[in-house]
Amino acid sequence: MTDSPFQILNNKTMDRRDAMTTLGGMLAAGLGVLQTSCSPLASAAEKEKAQLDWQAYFQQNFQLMTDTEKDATVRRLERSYELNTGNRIDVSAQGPRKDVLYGYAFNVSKCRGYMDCVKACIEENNQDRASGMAYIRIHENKKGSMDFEEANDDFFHQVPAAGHFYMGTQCFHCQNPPCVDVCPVKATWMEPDGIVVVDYNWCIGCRYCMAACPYDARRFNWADPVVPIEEVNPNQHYLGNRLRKKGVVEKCTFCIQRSRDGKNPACVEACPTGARVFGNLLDPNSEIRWILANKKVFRLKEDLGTEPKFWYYMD
Amino acid sequence: MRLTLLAAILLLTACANHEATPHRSLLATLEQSGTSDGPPPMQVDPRIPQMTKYPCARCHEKPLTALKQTKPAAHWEIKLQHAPATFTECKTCHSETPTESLRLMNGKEVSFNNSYELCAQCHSRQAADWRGGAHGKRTSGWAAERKVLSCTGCHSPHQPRLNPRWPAMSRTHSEETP
Repeated sequence: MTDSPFQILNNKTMDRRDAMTTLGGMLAAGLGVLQTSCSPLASAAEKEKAQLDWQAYFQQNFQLMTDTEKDATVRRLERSYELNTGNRIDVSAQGPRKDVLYGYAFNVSKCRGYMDCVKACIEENNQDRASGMAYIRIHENKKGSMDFEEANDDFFHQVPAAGHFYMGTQCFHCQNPPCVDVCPVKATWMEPDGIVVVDYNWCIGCRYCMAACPYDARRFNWADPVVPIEEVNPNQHYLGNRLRKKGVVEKCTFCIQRSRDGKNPACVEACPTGARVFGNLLDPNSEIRWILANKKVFRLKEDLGTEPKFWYYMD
Repeated sequence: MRLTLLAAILLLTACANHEATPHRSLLATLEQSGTSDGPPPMQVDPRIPQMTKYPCARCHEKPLTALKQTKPAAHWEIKLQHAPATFTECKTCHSETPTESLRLMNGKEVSFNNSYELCAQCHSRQAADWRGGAHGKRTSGWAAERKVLSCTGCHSPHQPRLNPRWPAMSRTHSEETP
């Protein structure tokens, strides 16, 4: 049997946050009753919405949640979306697999600038269509140079263009991520499987992480993100492609909703040239390990000691 | 005096603790997980189910010289643009007396499903990269059994070079390909 809110409040072991949440819940319910008694228009759904919003306001940092709390949180997100839109989504809080450390390799010789990866990424990860946000950038470099200041990352002509080569950048999921070190509220961290994630509910939007990232990998929501309702990908992860809000930072998560399910990230699946390779770095018989052992590879700004888990190689 | 000593001891302990967890490089972590014993095992996408003019014997029941007299001509659409013309012709890869398979340089027959063995005769470097995972397209997820496309999954054997095309989008232009 569950305790009544008053019994919970009398329980001395309760911490401040839980007490506030419970009080808040009572307040919201009380206001709901008041509103309903005064307005015949207020529906049960509206009251539920108000209560869910209130609970979200007092939500704990994802890293500190128990499995039960994580489950309750994602169920709340699903219910909230259903109440707001009438559509159903599936939000997962699936944890990391044991003995897995994700890594990525990018074949500079094979990329032809098709941009299929960027398109797939935007659609998979419910990125803001209004601002044209994209986690991936494809840089068109003149042969003979690899200067990102000079490269064109907004080309639109037949590709590959004569005398040019193409190179993609995105979050490199550094093993020693400077973005994580600078976050003042611990809203971003590296998961045990090596994916650097953001708790969008905990992010305060200070953008320190964006300043700290040497690779321009993070993106900020200056306005409420717009995703046409029929284009929303309903297969979501709490730390991945769930819908974001204004004022929070987001970035590539190696498609955590896919990779933890054993699939390849959307960019890898979409690339028709096979220039993108993804796998488990701790499996010596994986493709990524074969590439590290047999091809000449390099990482960007390796001297910074960030240890990106994203390597470039050539044929 | 006692306090100073205590502070010094605490400081030393703190230093010792810090020393105990030195920064370990990523590559050292990877090395510790073992070394590979060869290219990752794989399954190759079979070619024969995708062939529209197979089996060959459906038409090739007479000798080639006799077939060449008949109209309409078969395989007329094939234009060979693969290595210099001084080197390649039909029988560089196909048997003159078709036996539902391809022919290696040493005369050995090889199934269309294993055409990569034929390609590897010249493109040995690409073949090694493909077996290892550095070239070609994997169709299965990272955790599943490794399934890959064969050479012909991407390259036309008769015109292997890929043509330029329009990108799916640009960073600021989301319009469809013109």
